[in-house]
Amino acid sequence: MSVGVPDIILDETDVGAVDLVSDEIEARSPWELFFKRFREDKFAIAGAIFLTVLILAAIFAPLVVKLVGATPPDQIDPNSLDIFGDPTGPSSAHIFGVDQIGRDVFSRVIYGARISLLVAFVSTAITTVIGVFCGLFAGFYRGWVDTVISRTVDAWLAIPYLLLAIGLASACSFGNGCVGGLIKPGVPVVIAVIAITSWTYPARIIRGQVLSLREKEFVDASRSLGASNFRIIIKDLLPNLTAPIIVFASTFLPTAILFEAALSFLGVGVQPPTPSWGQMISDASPNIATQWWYMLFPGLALLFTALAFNFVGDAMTDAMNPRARRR
Amino acid sequence: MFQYIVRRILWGIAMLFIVSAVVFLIFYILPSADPAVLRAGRNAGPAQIAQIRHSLGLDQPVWRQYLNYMGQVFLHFNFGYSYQYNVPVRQLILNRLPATIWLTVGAVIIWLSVGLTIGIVSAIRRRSILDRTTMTGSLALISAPVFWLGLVSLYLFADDIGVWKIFPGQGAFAAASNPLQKAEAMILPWLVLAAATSAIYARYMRASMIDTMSEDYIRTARAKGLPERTVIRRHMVRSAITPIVTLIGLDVGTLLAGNAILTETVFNIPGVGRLLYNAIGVSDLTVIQGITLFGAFFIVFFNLVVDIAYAYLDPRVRYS
Amino acid sequence: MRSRSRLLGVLLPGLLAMASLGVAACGSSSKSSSASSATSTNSSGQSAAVSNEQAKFPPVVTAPSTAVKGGTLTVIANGDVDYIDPGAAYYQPTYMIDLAADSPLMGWPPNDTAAPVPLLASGQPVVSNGGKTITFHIKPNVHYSPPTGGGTGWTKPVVSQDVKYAIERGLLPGVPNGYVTLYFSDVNGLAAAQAAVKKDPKVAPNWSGITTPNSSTIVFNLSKPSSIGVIDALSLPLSSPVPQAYAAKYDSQTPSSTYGQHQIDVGPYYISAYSPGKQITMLRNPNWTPGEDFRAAYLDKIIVQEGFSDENSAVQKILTGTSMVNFDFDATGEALKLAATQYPHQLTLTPSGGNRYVALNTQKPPFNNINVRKAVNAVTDKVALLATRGGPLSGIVATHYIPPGIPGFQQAGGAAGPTGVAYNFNQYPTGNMTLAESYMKKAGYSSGKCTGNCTITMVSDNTPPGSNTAQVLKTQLTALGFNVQLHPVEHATMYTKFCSVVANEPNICPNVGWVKDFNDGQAMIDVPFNYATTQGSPTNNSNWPQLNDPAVNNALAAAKLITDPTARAAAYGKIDDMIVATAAAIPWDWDYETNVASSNVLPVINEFNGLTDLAFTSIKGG
Repeated sequence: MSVGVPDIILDETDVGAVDLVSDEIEARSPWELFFKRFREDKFAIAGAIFLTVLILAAIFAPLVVKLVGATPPDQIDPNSLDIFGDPTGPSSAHIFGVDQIGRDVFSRVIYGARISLLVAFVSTAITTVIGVFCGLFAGFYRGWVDTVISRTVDAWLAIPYLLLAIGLASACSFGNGCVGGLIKPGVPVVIAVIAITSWTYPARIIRGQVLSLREKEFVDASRSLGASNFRIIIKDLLPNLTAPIIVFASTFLPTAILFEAALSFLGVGVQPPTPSWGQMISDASPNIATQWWYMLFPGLALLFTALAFNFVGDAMTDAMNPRARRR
Repeated sequence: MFQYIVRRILWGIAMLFIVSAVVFLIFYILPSADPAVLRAGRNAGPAQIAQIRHSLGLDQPVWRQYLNYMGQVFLHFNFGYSYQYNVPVRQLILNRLPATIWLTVGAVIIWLSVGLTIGIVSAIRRRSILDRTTMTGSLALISAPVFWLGLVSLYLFADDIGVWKIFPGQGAFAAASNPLQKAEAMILPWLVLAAATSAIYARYMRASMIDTMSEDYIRTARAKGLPERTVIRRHMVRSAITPIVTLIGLDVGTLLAGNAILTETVFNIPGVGRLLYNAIGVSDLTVIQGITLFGAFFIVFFNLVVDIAYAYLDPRVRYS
Repeated sequence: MRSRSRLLGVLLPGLLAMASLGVAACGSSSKSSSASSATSTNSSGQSAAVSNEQAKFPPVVTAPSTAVKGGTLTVIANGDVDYIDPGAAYYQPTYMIDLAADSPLMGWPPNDTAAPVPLLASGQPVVSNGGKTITFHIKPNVHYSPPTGGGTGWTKPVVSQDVKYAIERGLLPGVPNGYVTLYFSDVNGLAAAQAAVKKDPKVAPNWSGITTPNSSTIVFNLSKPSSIGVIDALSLPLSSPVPQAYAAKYDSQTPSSTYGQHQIDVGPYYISAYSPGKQITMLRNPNWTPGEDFRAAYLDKIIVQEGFSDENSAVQKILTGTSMVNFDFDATGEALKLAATQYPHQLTLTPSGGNRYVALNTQKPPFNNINVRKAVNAVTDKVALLATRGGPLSGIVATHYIPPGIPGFQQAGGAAGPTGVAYNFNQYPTGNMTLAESYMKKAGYSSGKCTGNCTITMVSDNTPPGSNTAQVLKTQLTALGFNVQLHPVEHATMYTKFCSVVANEPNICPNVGWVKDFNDGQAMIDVPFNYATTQGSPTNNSNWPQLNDPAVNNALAAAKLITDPTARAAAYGKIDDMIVATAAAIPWDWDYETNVASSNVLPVINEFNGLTDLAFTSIKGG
């Protein structure tokens, strides 16, 4: 379990690494240290296992559904609705019950994992890339480039993401999408919205890091050797930014998952009948008093997935941070 | 100090213009419906629609519409009329603002008092069972989608449909007639909205406290013989809290600007977030613009307040 | 001729005879099973059971003798009225208010659907000059209420010039009336009046075809003998009087008239306060004399409370609370189950006089091919579609377009629909895959399923039940090999940006339907299937299939002029079957309005409107 941020500065070498038998004392590489620390966090391990299982289930969704004996996510089972057209709950035929038009909830939860995971990873990647790019430029070049980018970041917060989301969703959800077919309806729109609204966070972080890095001696050294700006950025700055980038990405993943769920809940994310956990919860909300199952199971799926990502992300943050006190 | 404030105010005003221009542009490029046809009603012929489009000013070039609009706002404080309801936008927004303010203020009080306290206590009793429990628990709260939390809380505690009928349920705020009833109706929404945020604040406060604890002046204060409680209160908390202050400004500002949409939807609270969502759905541009401007104003205002407070607390900031 | 944004209800004559016999008697199925004129047996045998189910909840259409004055009724609403200005209103729920606050020349007592009766008019109008002149006399000593929001109103009594102005202001762009050009197109001088409005949109024009020889007489001069339609239309709120000297200053506002927020009413109630999106308050009109017209007015106060977006909890609130009725939403799904099983005495089902159908865009592939259309008709499981609205209690599976109770229904084939090989694709309520495949083969798809470019677009509602209906339909169509791109949008957007705009219309619009304005075949199938509609208004088109069948177009034009009721019914019945034969759309529901009331309310349903009649409803004990 993570213990939070700095306490006392520790050396890179860990006392436990001493091999008492041999004569040599081997220092561990940063990556070895990283994995060792990560392994010590039991919650993170549990989270990682859960995520692996989930990813596998999502990839092999048709197989999983068949194994459990559930109907495919698009198939309507007319016997599962009563005479008022209302769905029935968990039963032997449908272990998680059916949704409001008779589709198996278990299937839809498994297939919904595909959407959540896909959106989470891709949007995190794009957000990080854009943010790093802007942060790098702002921090490195400073001057008017920095001012423009920083002020844009400031102003960006006030733009209602809802407007963007709904606007994009309605404009790009038809036919070939918009921006010349780049943003197609459904998942691409959600990814675009997340990326466009969130790039400011990594930008700010990376900018701060670059500002302090560029003052360091090794940058001066490179410059005095005649390295071009481009070379300095690639060879000196970027490798040192790996840690904060990974930290940001791992902590942004759960945010991306919840963001997609929120957009789908509001009806501007993935469009039905593609299963999405947020959409399923939205469908269930008028009837939660009597039809609790298809609100509960997708919600638990979201909770556990986000939690798993959070545990893993937390552990990664701590493992990357040399100054964190270890148990 | 004065220069600092003036600079921030000027930037705030510039931001209002920028944000409204961007929103105008987004709306123009990506409209979701045609407001002239909406206004014209059913069975309207093309001539009638064109006439309405003209009277709404929608056939003018974008930049001219924008300038007209901004002129009206800044010179006459007139935000135009809603296409959908044909009522002044200012009146609509002011009608909805109280609900959002109720929600925000209550939630802020809860998450500040709960979150900060937990953060401080967890930091002081670092790595105790208490600390580990609160930190894991807070992660769980952060990981739960707020709308789902709202639905589950309604399912468990709402007095009309809940398993244990304790708190007023959905729609209770709209039906409440006096402040006491309103506060009662807000208990579940406050708890739900504050849940994830207090978890975040607890973690930040804890981290900030731990940072502060390792500073030299804390050691000095202890060495001076001050009682631990005084050390905590006067030195640690005061400096740990400074970075949190910026966060508060941002959170309050964005909530008032309509970020509480999810909570408002689940609990059926007639607030600004819901109004914005409806307006976007029917392309009611004047309402969208009005809420965006109000919202941007709140964000700017609270950021300004917070920046000034920060500058007061940390003199180094003033000279940056 | 309203397109269905809200449900509407009108009782069919059979049930009418039964129900008006007295107080709502639940379980009086013995009487109502003879109302099977609406539901003869069909292949699934389901309709017979259906009507018995529905007949258990008949509405009351006259005030019971135990009704007393007094009390406040709360009307629970999801959304708002379309327009608070009676000159622009065109929503069934808005009419609930307008029927109690306004006095058009003609009106509808709750148990009448055949023809309107005089309301502001002192007697039936005199039709002369070969059906081209209609003369009305209006009642003396009718006064206006205080204005909405307070202030000084108008103290002079109602005069015929006020009725003339009320109709003329409907031409202003600031008073977007949706039916004035539809029904009054034959009144002389319309073109000149419209030209005058174009020049000056702030002043209502003088409509020369409407004359007021004295202050108690108003005359309509028509160019064609279409008096029946005009008299019917004068029962809509547009002709409720508005004094020009009072309203002109509001009507001159742009972009919209603000008269609605300052209106003065002449009915037994008036709108004392209006907070858009939140609440409408109605009080007794102090200047209305009891006995002035056929309305009773038991309630003292009516409050319409808006914003109840969760229909289930709203219905539950009404059923378990006191002094409430519903406004603009139906009980469906769980709410309907709750009402029918636990509060049967508080639920009423009224045929809405409307239909629902899936419109297929006949102007672009693949639905420009009649065999593909027939295939899609054949594969549709209409019972499953009906389940999304609440199952058999919510409506009857439709087999053509004129619903029960409207003349032409029986003539078009009644509940079972038209018979014969030419209609075989229409005769399987749960769908028939084999038949569908055979039509696909006839269309050129040798495998019986679509191959090649099979992408079709569908734009639907994004809220239930419309969204659910679309998803169920999509699954059914996918079975035929189509790749359906479903795009759910906001209700208003669905019409104004997609389905009603010819250039943007997708292949399928699944959530459309039509509700009658009056009990007449023309009101049901002319506008939605006549190509003249599409030509006249390509950006606001209500002929969603864009059907352009010359035989149908000609038959519709001819049927308009028939005056003999029997011949008219026969003609429209025949046209209904012609439209079915084109397979241009898939009719799937003749639905019922499900209204709920609290236990202490004695609701009276207005059959013309299908919703609670505020002027006849009362509260037990006052």
